[in-house]
Amino acid sequence: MAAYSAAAILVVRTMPSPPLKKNSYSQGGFKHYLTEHQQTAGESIDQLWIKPFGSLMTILLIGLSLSLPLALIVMLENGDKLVGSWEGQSKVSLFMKMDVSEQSGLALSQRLALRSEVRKLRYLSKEQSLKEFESSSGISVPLALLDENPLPAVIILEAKASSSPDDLSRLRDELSLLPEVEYAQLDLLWMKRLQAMLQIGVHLAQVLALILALVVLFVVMNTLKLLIEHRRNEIEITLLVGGSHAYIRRPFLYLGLWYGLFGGLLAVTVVELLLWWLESPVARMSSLYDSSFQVQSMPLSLFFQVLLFSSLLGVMAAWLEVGMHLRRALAK
Amino acid sequence: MIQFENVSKKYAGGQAALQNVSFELERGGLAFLIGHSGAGKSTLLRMIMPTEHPSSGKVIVDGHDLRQLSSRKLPQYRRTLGVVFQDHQLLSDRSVFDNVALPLRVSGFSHRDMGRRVRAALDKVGLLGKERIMPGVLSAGERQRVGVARAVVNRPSVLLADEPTGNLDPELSGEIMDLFEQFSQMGACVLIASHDLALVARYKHRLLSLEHGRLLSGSHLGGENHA
Repeated sequence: MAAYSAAAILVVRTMPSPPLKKNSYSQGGFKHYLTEHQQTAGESIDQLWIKPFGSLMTILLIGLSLSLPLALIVMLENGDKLVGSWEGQSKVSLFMKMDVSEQSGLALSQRLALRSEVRKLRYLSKEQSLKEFESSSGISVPLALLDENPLPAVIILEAKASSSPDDLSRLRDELSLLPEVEYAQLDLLWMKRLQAMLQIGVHLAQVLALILALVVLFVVMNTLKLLIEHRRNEIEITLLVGGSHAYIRRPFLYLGLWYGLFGGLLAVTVVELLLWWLESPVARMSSLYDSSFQVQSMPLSLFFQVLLFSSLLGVMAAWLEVGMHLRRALAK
Repeated sequence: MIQFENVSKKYAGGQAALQNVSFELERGGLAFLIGHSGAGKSTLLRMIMPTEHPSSGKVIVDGHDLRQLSSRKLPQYRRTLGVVFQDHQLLSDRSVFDNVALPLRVSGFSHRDMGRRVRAALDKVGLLGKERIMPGVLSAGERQRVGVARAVVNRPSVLLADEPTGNLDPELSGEIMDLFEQFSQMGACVLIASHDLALVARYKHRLLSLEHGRLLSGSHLGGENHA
């Protein structure tokens, strides 16, 4: 062994050891504390690369678990927007009795057009109804084979946007009593039903999100449990040389954060891909209904909410798992 | 500095590791803890760390009753200790520098101070220049010296060593013991557990002799009473 250097002894002699009551970072200051965090964050990212396959599997599992409720939520939001876009175009269709003449039908439509609730009105004669049916269904009706046109004349009333569903229901009831009218249909009803179903869907998505969040929590906890086992010796030595629980926890919290964050990024990517894939079929379907509706991409706020939520889940899982390990270590 | 007051330790099976042990070691004092395997040397050291607590009695270090030490204060207390483990307890995936720097890192030393202290400690144990080497490629003796460097790097007020010269040749053992003596002269309280009686006999320090968990009142080595 080399002879002791006088300078080395002097350095050790002159440097004070930390007193018991000083806080952990009194030696290097807050800047050093931040540097330590930065270093730990970087080291924990490196940790992901030590076992890339295992890390990838964990991130995939988190991403796919989160993408399911997220996709449902985004779809439901789209459905909600679709219903909303149709709601302003609430229509009451009045199907005329077959024996009502075109003149009587037109006269009725002129009378109805004067009503305050009506924004727009369209009268379709029997012939026009047939043509519209043929063009929308693509089926040509051979009138030669039929005794007469089976379709009635129709008056389509578009209510004012300010009309409430109750106003429209009342209008429908009132108009159905007119002697010329065989049947009055309020198109809003099925939209209300759809909206109610969408509400049920939202609740289901919330429950699913909760269940899958628990899955994510357990997946991260299990992954970290294995890692903690692998680093048990390091943790014990660090505790023995004065490492605080916060110091022990820190790299695992960052690891949990990365798992959650990357899992969240994967989830939003999967959902965005799904929306992109659905875009043209939905646009085709919308055009069939004379609608300009397009699939809405995930709002930026939801994107950040997902990342925040998934990151917090990862951190929470790490906190719980390391906490359990430290409690076990203390109990020993 | 270190006070044991009627300390006994019984394990779950009823086996007594320590029985009514009392002694006091002053600041700047150096004592050897001797005894056969299973005499209770390691248990006694573990109570100072403290990774174990007595079944009865008190262990007081630097005025702190270790049983009363809160979990928040425990890390701060441990930073005042230096421990040399029999089996080195090095991190195999960290370099010599990182191993020695660990107590400084957890104490929040700046990188500059850490570098100075680590190099000084490695110089003391003759390993300066091997900072970047991984412990796996070092000999058992070198690994033990890394363990010693890690124990002294934080300039502890209490230095505990469990068979610190177990893997070292007589010359190196002597140099490590000299280092411990220097630390006690600098005011640290040093307690060394060893069964190397030949080595212990070369130093005229206090002996704490354990036999079946009991501390013998007077200990003799080579006809000389050190107690």
